[in-house]
Amino acid sequence: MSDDRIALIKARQKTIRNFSIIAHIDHGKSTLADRILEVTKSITAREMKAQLLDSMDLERERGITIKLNAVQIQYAHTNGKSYIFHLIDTPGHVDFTYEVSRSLAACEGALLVVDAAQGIEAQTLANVYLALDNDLEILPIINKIDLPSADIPKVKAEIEDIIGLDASEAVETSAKEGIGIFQILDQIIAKVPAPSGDPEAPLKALIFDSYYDAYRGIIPSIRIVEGILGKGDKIQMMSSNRVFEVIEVGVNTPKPVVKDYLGPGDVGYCVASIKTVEDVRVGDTMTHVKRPAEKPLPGYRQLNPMVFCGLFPIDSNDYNDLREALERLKLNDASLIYEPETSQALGFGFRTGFLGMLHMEIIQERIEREFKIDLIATAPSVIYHVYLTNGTMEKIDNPSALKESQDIERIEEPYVSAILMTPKEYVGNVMELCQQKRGIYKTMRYLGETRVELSYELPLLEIVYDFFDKLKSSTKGYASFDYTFSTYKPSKLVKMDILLNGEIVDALSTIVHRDFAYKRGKLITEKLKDIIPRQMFEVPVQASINNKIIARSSIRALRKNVLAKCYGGDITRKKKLLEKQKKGKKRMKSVGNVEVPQEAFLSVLSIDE
Amino acid sequence: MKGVYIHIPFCEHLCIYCDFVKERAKPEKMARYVDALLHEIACQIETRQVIDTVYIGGGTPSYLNLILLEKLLMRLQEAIDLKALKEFTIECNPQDINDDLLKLLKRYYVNRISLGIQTFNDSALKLLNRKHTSDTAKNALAMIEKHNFTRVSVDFIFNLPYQTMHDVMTDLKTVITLNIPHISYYSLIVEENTRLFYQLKQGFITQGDNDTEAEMYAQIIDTLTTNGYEHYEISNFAKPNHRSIHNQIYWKDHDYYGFGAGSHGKLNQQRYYNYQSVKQYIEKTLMHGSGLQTTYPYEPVRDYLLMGLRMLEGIDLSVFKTRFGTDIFTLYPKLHECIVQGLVLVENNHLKFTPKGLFFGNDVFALF
Repeated sequence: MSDDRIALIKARQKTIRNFSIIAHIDHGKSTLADRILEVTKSITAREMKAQLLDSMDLERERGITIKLNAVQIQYAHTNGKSYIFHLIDTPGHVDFTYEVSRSLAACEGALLVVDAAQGIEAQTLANVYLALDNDLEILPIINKIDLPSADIPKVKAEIEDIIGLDASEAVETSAKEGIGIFQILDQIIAKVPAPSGDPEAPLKALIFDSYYDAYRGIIPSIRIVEGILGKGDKIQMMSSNRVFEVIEVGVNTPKPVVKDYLGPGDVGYCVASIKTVEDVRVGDTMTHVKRPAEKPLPGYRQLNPMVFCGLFPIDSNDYNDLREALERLKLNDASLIYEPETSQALGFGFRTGFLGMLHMEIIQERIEREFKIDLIATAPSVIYHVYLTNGTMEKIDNPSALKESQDIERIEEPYVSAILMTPKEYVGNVMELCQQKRGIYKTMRYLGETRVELSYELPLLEIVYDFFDKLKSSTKGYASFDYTFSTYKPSKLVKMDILLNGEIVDALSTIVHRDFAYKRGKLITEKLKDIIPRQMFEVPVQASINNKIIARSSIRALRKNVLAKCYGGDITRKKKLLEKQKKGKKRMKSVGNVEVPQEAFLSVLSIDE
Repeated sequence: MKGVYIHIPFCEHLCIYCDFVKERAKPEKMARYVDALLHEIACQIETRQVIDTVYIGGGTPSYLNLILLEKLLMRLQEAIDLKALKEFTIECNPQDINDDLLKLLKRYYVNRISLGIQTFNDSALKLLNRKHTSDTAKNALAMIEKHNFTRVSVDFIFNLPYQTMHDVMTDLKTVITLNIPHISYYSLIVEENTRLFYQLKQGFITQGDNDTEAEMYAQIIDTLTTNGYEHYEISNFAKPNHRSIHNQIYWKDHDYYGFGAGSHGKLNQQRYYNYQSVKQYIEKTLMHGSGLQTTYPYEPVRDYLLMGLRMLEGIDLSVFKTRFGTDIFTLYPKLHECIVQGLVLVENNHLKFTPKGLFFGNDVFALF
């Protein structure tokens, strides 16, 4: 490459600013992103859909970001200079911590958006720490200052006390009202450093995301750290050593725009006929085959699923469609894993692994919505380390696969380190909840005068159950919470089976702590009695451990199901009712001869104790 | 056979369980409605067409004032030969029954009165927001008898909020003592978005469960059939020769016109319904001579079975085969399972509900 060109790239590099937005759910991240796109005229009003960056319907509905997106923004400042911003969006949930850390690694700066009325939440804090780990320049922004309950000085004090950031220059904004947006842009230019990479060094490009295109294969989203990447280059993935030829590079503005090359600091995409998502691992480094980088960029990690459940089609004819759906979703999601599973009760399906509960819910919902397959999902399970008396260890992610108790020496379960933040009046409730959930208390510290940070070790199993809901209800929604995997510890765990009409329903088996088994068995059998609709015969519901019945209830027989009225020749009502009943049945799975609704299989999750 | 259904969507008071097309309207609006209705009937019924039954339902037809009602009947007579009808029914509320009304009805050949009594329990009537008492109802029945209306039907409801088996027995005894020849006895259906629906949902009132409902239904069938009533449709009971002819038009899949707001009709293998909004119905009808909002599919076999099986005499299997060119069991092999489960049986070449099957009609209907 000519010296002129290099000089040009270096000059351009000085005008680049790469940043993310860190915010708690509902603190206004997407709205702020929209405003920035708007004032920089990156999109016209006509193209402006509310919260453009969250492109999946599901994301928009849930008001959260699941999928990462990066946008290049050209900003002509009133001082006459032009800048190139790359806004890299991050997912906002604990399940996706690793992805967040990789997108942050693609930035030099981050906007820390804090709700002026609510202050800092645990999730925000976790992400701020990730940003600090990546040496990002953090610009505090107080959002929603137009709210009557806004308390700007308090929130500024929190930012200073809790995170230790200087909040004196924090921009006070209302993204919704468009207040303070230009000020934010000025601060980005002034405070976020331009990327420092050398265009003449060997190529190092960070893969921080990928997406699937039906015609062009897997397309990684990349940040060039050093070197230059252009069309026709032979590239290599440093963790998998797979080699590809680059067909096209470009940037998203948000529309894709083809470029001749990408230089240091550029954030864009790279088309290279990549067929499987395993070849494009988030966090991996892309380099040239001819002149490879010596070392990959730091921080690459292979993601392992933490939560497993069985997914079964309600209509067994949908089995192949379900496999195709999982294959399709997998194209975009390396962390999704699955393998065939057979259940006596539910037939053929897949044991599926997820990063966490939200990830699991999202995948299930997408299968039902985008692929129109009615699903039964079994209660989620974690991976147990089962040490057998013969000295071997088995990893069990499916309760029904657990061996007879006499063969088991001990069972270990995964624990997480959890940070919980709560207003101080709820500390008692939070501690009580953690206690109930077998938590091990670690530390407590005051954050300012009104809030407290607690740290606990908790069994992941308990979090997979209803921990989050319980936390919210016992703190009126004020507590927030974040966790990372810590270690495996031995526990007194047993398998509890559920019998319907005298037969074990393997898909309802769970692993529970021995001390809670009786109580849980009672609650589950009671709950199933309420969830499973009355059938034409009486159905006993029992819970058992090692073939010993520990709890029972019974679903009484249905005695009348007939539409009484004929409604003056209006047959539509009758048909509607029958359709409704049929549809209800369609959502149920015949287990033995008992019609069991979908919710029943998740009932073990949310029981009020 | 061909019937005419005429809907009068006005009520003085709204019952908490009702989700039919009805409103509390001003007299001028009712007058305009009757004009529209008459226009629709005049435009739609071909002259000298043979009509077998007319049924004026609601709403509350008896809520129309006598002048308006007379106008309706008089003009109806121009379109339909009322005297030649096999059956001419009008629905009335007990509190509306008086000598003038009955004389008027008689003059226009109304030969069957359907009285919305629902229960003889006064506190239950109050809870339902009905504006009559058991005495009003009994007086109305006496007056109807005095005017020589021999064909009378009453609507009753069971599994009402707080209703006990004892209450049901009391209602049954009164019906039997008064020798009422026809009873439509419905279980209370909680339709979404009715006041009843919300009151139950919010726990302001409570209703018996599925067991109670089944026990009451069994008691009703048992008591009425041992007292000379024929149980001839899932919810209908009649003394000999008192079955509703008009309703059998629905159940036996004959044609019927639907006139008025929200009414349904079936003509020439086509089903349709009219605009539900009274205002829209009036506008459309005055403009086009019809209040038709949309047609919807007539499903010959399914409709025939859904309606026909409601009759306890069941479906004549030979008639079915002639009509549809195929055997019912070939079409619905799962019917064999229903026979095994004891829900339906074949008797005298008819497919019909067993006594047990009457309680699980929807499980059978779901096959079609």
